[in-house]
Amino acid sequence: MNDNPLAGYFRKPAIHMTLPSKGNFYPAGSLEMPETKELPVYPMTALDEITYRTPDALFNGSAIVDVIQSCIPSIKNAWEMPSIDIPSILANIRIASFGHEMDINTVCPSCEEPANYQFDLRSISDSLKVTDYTKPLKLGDMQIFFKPLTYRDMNDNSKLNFEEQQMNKVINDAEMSEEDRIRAMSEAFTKISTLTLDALTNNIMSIKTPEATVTEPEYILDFIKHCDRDIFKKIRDEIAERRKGTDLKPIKIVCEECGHEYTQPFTLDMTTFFE
Amino acid sequence: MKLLTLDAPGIDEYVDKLENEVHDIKSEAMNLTWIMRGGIQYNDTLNLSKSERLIIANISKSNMETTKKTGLPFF
Repeated sequence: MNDNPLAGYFRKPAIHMTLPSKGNFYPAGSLEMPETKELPVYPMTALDEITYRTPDALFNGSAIVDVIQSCIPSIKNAWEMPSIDIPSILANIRIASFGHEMDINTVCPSCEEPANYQFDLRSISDSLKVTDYTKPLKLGDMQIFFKPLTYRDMNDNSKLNFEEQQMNKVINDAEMSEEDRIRAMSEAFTKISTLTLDALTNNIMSIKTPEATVTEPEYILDFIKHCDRDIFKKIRDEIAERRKGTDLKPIKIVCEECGHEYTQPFTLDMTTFFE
Repeated sequence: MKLLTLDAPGIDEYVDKLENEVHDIKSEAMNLTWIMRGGIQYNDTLNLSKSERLIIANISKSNMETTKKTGLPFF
């Protein structure tokens, strides 16, 4: 990092953005919300461009955190930002750095003609619909209040998924003995179960009953582990439904060659988004 | 993340690509620092945005053309 005390004065904000979360779900000290409720977004520096090209930093998630904290200094701890803000934040950093148009390479599935499509990143923020987290899921006299995952939760899940994939490769190893294979499968199954339960728990803000309001993650995890199958399924489905609003919609493309209409998935993967 | 979905040879290839891109960014920053003749330090160049680096590169290009046209020393 630059130790020049004037380093903070080099750049000027290119744009200002509002957070889809409106600043909710940020723990105290992790966000400094300006009076205008709009966060200044600075263009990426050469140093930022180097940061998100550092493989270890990409793998452990610190590349995204460092670049976000550099480009949006109002976010003091990007590990704690809610997942619903991430697409909008990344899109706005790219807009501030390289402009609002992004080239998408595509191949028509009908005529197989390759084409270059220009996507307007400003439409991302417009298309995101944040669910109302003040509305609980009511199950009898119990009310379950939800919250979005933090970036830290998402990153931990990604790393665990990666370990899982590696485990699957080991299980499929033809040279492995049957006994070792069963042991590996059992370990993988336990890990997946733990991962699922943790992910559900991290999505729950509190559970309100006529007697008490429970916010302690360990009690919520205990409840998730021991609730009946029907309740578990309802909670899982509710979380999936709420997540849909912030999932990026696929891009609709019309082939200029044959007129075929098709959709192409669009992701904000750090490793490809800023290329 | 793309890195998490690649196999071992794919990761190697991707890491090489990233290293080459980092090398290009550092070379560009070093080049701009040299062109500025002490007017900007390397660390300061690394803190410039893409558009700011482009502006310096364009100024340098314009000065080079002026030098060629006038025959005066490069400034």
